[in-house]
Amino acid sequence: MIDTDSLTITEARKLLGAGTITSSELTQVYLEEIERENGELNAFIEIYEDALDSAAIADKSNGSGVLHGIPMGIKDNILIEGKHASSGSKILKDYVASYDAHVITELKKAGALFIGRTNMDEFGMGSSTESSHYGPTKNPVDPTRVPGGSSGGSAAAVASGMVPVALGSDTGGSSRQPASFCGIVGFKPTYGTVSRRGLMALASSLDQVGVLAKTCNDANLVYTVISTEDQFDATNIPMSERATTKKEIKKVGVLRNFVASQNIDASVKDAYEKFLNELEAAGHELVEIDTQLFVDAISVYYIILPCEASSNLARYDGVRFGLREDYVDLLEQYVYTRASGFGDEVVRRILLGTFSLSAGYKDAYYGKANAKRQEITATFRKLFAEQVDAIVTPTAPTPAFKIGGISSALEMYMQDLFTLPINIAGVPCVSIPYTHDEAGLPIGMQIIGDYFSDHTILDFGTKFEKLTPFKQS
Amino acid sequence: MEINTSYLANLARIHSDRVSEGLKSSIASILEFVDKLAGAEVKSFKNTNYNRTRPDNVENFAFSRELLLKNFPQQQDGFLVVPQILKK
Repeated sequence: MIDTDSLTITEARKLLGAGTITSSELTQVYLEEIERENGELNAFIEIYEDALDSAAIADKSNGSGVLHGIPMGIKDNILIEGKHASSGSKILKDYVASYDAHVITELKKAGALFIGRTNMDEFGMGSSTESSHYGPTKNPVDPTRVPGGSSGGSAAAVASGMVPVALGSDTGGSSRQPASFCGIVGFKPTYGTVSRRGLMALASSLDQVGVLAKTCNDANLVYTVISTEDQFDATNIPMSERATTKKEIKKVGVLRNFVASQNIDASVKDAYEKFLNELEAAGHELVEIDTQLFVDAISVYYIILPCEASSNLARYDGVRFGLREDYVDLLEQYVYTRASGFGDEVVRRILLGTFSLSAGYKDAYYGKANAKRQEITATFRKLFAEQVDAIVTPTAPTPAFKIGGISSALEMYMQDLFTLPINIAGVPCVSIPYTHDEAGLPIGMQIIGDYFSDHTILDFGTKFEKLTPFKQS
Repeated sequence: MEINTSYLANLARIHSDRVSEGLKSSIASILEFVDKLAGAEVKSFKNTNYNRTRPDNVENFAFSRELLLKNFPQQQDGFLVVPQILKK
């Protein structure tokens, strides 16, 4: 009897390696779990009909890849050749990928198989997975609440045991915040260590593929597989330039005063304080750090992201692929296709970006935000060079909120208070499930590392998981 | 802040009817929020973003013609059909 709620990749690989179970049997177990749970949760928007065929091939091939025979969920914005991918949007509803994303190629080489595509906020714009064309995903811990976003489908799928691991993406916290809301691990790698080729672009200078897993060790396994060099992504960093000096985490940067002074849920404040006390008890030196970068980062992010998004999403015009509203006039075809194909949040951010890039405003908004971004990045570099080995913060200012509970766009953006500075700087970060509030909702903490210290922070997370095991309520 | 959303919608190639009153007011309040950055002092920084360039060669990166054609909203004899833009 397999308990899919707790089975890790490592344990599954042991069972497969010992011949206790076949990949076909394992995949069947997960498909049955999906059959039971997905109707209510809406974590998967498509289950691949060939999932069992892929598992049967894995059983016959006897491969030795670290993910051989392991079924995975893939976020709807990552391309798998021949499969639908729509970024949760009506405008790409029937789009079929014509090539594999780099990460998919690497996962296939490692023996992984894909069970289906997971729901997401439209084009990754959201923190609740409510803005998907396919309807909202629900949180498996409490289905009246959101799973976070934008990788809410991947997080809900892993947390509910529909799949042992899933890929997400992370532009401002989209893997970490849903991980925190659902009580699992969410990892965002150093920018440039995982190729973005085949990840549908939201904001190219911020986007990274993320990993949603049960443990830091599982996230580490998947990260090792997908973080290979790719000459087709101009921002992918060569292996020879990925060295880190951070091998051990002793000094930990904290935001004790900032967290205490902000409009943050009391349960999160209490959890953070407890977390810091445990770190101290485990022998870590806590260092209070300057918090201005966290304050500035929100404005910077909500200028840079819409600018890049408005440019990236200009390609969706109904000409070469996706939705087309038929009009005799080409311009009319553009404006009606885009008006009909994009949801409210996407239109909002496209217009915000268009404004910030328009004549007379570009220098004051985009130019200033970029300069401020360099300042934030330099502050992170200095912190890691001179003061700390890692920084810890709560992942989100609240536990999972009710579906429909946040109607103001600005209030929703504040969900990313702790996560988006990490994307602004490009450093790696992992959210680990830490504790619950009184209602049993998970609360996560994020560990931020220096550039290229991805494995170090994941190892740190693994040690912490052993110290304070998290139990799904 | 006074924002001409019809003008912006036109620039963004989105029909202006799509921009509801709710969207207009939220855009104004978000711009008001991020506007505090306009007054912030910033030091001059060298761009440290990494960009790897490579020769602009044709690489062995094959697309499936069939799949590309399948994604065309409208096609005829393997060609993409678009509205006529040049009048006789």
